[in-house]
Amino acid sequence: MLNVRITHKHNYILITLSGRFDAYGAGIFTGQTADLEEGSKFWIVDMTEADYLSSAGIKALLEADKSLQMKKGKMAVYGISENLMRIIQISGTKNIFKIVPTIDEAVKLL
Amino acid sequence: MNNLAAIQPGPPPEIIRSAQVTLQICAMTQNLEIAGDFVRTAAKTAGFDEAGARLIELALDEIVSNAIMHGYSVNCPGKIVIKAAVFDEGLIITTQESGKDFNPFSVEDPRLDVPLTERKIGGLGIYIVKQIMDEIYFEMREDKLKIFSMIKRLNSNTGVSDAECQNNSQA
Repeated sequence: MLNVRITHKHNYILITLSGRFDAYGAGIFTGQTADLEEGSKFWIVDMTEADYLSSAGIKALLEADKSLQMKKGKMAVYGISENLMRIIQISGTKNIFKIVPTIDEAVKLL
Repeated sequence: MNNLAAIQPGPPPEIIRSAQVTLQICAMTQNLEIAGDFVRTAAKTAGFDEAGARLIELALDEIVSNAIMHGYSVNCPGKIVIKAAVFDEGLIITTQESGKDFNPFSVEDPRLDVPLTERKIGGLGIYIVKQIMDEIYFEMREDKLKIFSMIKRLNSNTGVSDAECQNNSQA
């Protein structure tokens, strides 16, 4: 099951995900982040503790990213393990995400 | 270029199976984890390593997620039967369900070269399955039973070596 922790920072929102980001997790993610754009249109997603990802999780992230971009916002993702990176590569979406290794680089991207 | 397996009509060819295990789940996304654990264990029994077993788990997840999200309504979930069979060259996974009609042959591969803001996000699941599995078969019986059969061979590199070759433009 996916756990979503939301922290409001000075100029962005940090979304920390842990556990399984599958279709079940995608519903949890979308539900818990639904109103966040009102707080900030700049999101950083920490995937360090996410240990599984399916296309439903990728789709949920891309939809959030797309929605933010439409409103001149941005999303950056960091902390993706080797296993999850392989899945993102297979899905062909690697270059669509703004993926960086650390939170410092994520902050610079926003 | 990526090595995409095409979805073929009909049942898979007859293969002598040395062992087969069956799992039946209620069509709810909460059950994806138990389905994943089930098939990952079967994949390891068939001789796949952890990384290979994880990819096979992902392929099954995509098929089962599709059936749950598109085939059944939330209030009235049906059941999905998953079979994992070991044969001398690898693993065969079969899923059976009777949800809403779905035609996997009509699912187009996603346009990954179009900027994110200009495209619909979809078709990723079947695309992932085509990249991971070596052979995919789909049949719909007259009683609406829909059966996916997928074969992964121990000597295949699909979904691993070619993944790096993706060259998508930045959104």
